[in-house]
Amino acid sequence: MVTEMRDPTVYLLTALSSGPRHGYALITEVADLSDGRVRLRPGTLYGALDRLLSDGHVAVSREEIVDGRLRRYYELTPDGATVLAEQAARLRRLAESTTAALRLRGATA
Amino acid sequence: MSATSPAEAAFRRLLRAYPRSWRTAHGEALLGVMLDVADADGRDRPTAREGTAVVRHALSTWANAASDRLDRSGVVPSFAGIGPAALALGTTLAAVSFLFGEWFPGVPLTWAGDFHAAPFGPFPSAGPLLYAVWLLAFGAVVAGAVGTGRLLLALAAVGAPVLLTVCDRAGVARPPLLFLYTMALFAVVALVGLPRQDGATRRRLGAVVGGATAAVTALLTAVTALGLALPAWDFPLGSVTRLDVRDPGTVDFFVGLGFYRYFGLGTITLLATPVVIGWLLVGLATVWRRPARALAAGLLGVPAVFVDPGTLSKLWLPGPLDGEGTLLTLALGVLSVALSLLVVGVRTARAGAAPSPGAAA
Repeated sequence: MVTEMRDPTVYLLTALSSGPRHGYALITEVADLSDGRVRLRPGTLYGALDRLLSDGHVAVSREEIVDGRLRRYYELTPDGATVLAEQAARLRRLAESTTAALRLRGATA
Repeated sequence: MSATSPAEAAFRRLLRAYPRSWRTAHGEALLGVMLDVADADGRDRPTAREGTAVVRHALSTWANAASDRLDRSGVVPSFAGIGPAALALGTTLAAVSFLFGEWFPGVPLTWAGDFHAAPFGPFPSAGPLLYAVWLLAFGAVVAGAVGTGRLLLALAAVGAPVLLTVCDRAGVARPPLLFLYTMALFAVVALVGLPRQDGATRRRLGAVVGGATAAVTALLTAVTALGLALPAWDFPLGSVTRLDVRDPGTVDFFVGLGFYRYFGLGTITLLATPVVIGWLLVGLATVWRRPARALAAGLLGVPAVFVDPGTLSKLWLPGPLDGEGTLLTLALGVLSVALSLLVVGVRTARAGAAPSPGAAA
């Protein structure tokens, strides 16, 4: 059985699926992916990244200094990609069953 | 890094909320993100929500760091060893109390004149309700249904204080306060300490608990019966020195209420409770290799120390509780500390299966 993952975490993994990202890029990409609905704050972002690092879904890719600020890049691990695929399948099943239920309701109404 | 600007200093102050090890590993990266976000928003200091998010994450980091360093090696085996023992002991107390306190062969027990409370059906008190739950839990574990046994033990743990409250409000007689608390304590220890193992281990557990319970029950029954048969020595009852079933005046001094209050049970629980406390203390002692962490976990148990039977008794009883309440207060304190450590330890064990954030980053 697939464990349900919270939306911000799914968005984070999705943002990382197209390549390594640093913290600020993750915040902006998650906001874009969710049409502005999920706006991660730095503390929340690092809470989620801590968990994903601990679970082995994400790894540190590289670091660089830009304008005197440290930028740490994160990437999706193979484990993380598998988990993201499972979440996508779970959400697809949910959407399908919900759509089917609504169709049935329309037919009986 | 460039020289620290006033704006950067405001964000850097937020990082002080984190443990030093986390700050060293991730602080600069988090600071960079906070400054990038602030630049994009045109701010030069953190917002309240940003600060709240950082503090919330910092607190969880502190909690994780504390649990990572906890040595749980002593607490878990303590519970594993004492759980089956607590089940055997609690079942024995339930069986012996029923036999000598509630249903003595050939002698009608009344508890007249002591509790000024009504009997419970054919029994002098409502105690058999609790004893039945204990005996069912024991039967389930011996039969290998440990899950059902744990459920019934949870019912027994909650049932003791509920019985106390309901009986006192309804004017129905019940076993003494100290005894009910002791039974609740044993139920919690047994509930937490019973292992969730495979079939073979469950059968072995059932055999061990069943054998121990039968042996201890037989022993206590024989000792109590022998005590009833012999003249009471140095017993503060004046001319009443021996049970005479034909003399109702002596019955309540030795069986029924007398068993609970004077004759046997007070001594049994005063011996059994320190055994449980002592065993748990042995387990807790090994945790003191990490005194600061053990102290932190111990603080979680402090509120239970204030759940003092003496204080509680004032809510339900007209008179003060005797000194035995102190012993039970200590037991509740030790138990709650041990439970706190166990919960933290189990979480640590689960988290320990994955690589630590610091190692990965």
